[in-house]
Amino acid sequence: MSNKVRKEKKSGKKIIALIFVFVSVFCSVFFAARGRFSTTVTNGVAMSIMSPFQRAFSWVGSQLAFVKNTVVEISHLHEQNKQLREEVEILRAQNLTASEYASENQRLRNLLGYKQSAIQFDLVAASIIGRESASWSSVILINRGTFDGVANNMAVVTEMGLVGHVMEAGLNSSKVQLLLDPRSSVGTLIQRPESRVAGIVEGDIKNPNFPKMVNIPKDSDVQVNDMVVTSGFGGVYPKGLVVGKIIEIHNEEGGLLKYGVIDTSVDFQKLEDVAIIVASREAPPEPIQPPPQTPGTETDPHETAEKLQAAQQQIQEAQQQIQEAQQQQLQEAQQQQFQQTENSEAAR
Amino acid sequence: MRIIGLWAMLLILFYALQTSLLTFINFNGFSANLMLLLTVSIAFLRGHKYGVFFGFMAGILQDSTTGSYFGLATFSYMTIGFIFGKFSVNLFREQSLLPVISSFPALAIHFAITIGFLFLLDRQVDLVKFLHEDFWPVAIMQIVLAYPVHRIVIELNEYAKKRH
Repeated sequence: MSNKVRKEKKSGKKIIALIFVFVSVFCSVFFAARGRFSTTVTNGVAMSIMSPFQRAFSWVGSQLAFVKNTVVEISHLHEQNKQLREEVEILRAQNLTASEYASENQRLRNLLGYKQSAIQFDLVAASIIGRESASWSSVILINRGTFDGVANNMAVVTEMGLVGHVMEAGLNSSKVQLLLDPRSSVGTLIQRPESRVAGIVEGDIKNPNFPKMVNIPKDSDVQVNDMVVTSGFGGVYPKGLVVGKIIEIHNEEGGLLKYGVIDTSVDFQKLEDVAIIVASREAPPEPIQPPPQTPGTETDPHETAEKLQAAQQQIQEAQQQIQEAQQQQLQEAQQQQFQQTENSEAAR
Repeated sequence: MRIIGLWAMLLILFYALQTSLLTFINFNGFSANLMLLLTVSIAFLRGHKYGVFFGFMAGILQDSTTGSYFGLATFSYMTIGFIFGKFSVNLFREQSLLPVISSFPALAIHFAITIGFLFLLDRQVDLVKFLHEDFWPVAIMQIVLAYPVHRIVIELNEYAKKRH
């Protein structure tokens, strides 16, 4: 019985102690929050005990954080790499477009330059919109037709030289037969002044990229590297358009004639823009240039011309003076003769 | 004496771990609370007296070092140690699942006490934001860490029993 009472008393004391602790702690929170209670010493001791452990764990934590950051960075790098790849693809596409525009710009500039220099021709610029798939590079389709003034048999050129002629002119597109076509025949001659041999350039079905200049007499003066230009015969192609350069000369089978293989001045595989000659006229005569002078004795042609002009003027003045003097002498002679006649009549 | 030293060492190590390493894994500044898990585990294994005592020691340690309001963590851990110690019965002592499940209500009580005190001290707390954004990540971390912590406490408790 006494044990039980003692146990209950002990338990009661414990409960009271527990309640006391709870209340004390509860109150300490408010006191501490209001700044009326501080445990500086306890805090200092606790922190001194804890700090080595915390430092060690912090070091481990910082290492792990470094690893974590590295992993995150790598994952970001992967993502960034992906984004950059996409960006590179977009930029490549843009670059390609820009290059395309630049290339087109260059071609059109060249064509414009040719248009400005070839003042004897009225040109219409056109772009190639198709090639006949059956014969890859013999017939092309351009985006200009009769609405633009294009008609059949008009010559088609680039700034490099002759391309072919309009085979069929549609309303807004036309078919152009290239000079590579075996059906095509262009009246040409050798540009070299000593030669001026005429021939016909036609496509070679066996060697589609290199047309032939045929009907050349065997003994005619034709050499490798001679430039071939249109002769203007036939009326389709104006005179003087560059066709290409002779790279090989062969004898015909019959033995009387020979033919030259021509490397065309136009690269037909890279052909994109052309110009159609819708009208042509006689080219104006070029201004006469002074003849080449012997080295070391060069004179200024303008100065010479001025001197010449001055000399001519002096000669003209001298001639005029002579004429005046002669006229005066003639008048004087006539007067003298008139006086003599009068005197003789008076004497009679 | 040696056993007390081991418990003290466990408390210090876990607290150091909580305040250094585990802070690297945080959600809006909230990270796992190992002191709470230790208090719950000890309360389940040794009853409410030990629970309150351990809660007191853990709380004092926390309040002395990193606590903002001295006594707040002490009061909270003591209360939790008392409540879960009272619930502990011999039948469940050796089971690991109960402390794992209990880590969730323990955290809820801890936060409830803390927020209650903050309200009493006229501190403004965005309760809705806290419940929506902060509470759940911490609760998940507590549940994840509850089992390993409880296993360590069981092992130390078994060792202490044997040494007794």
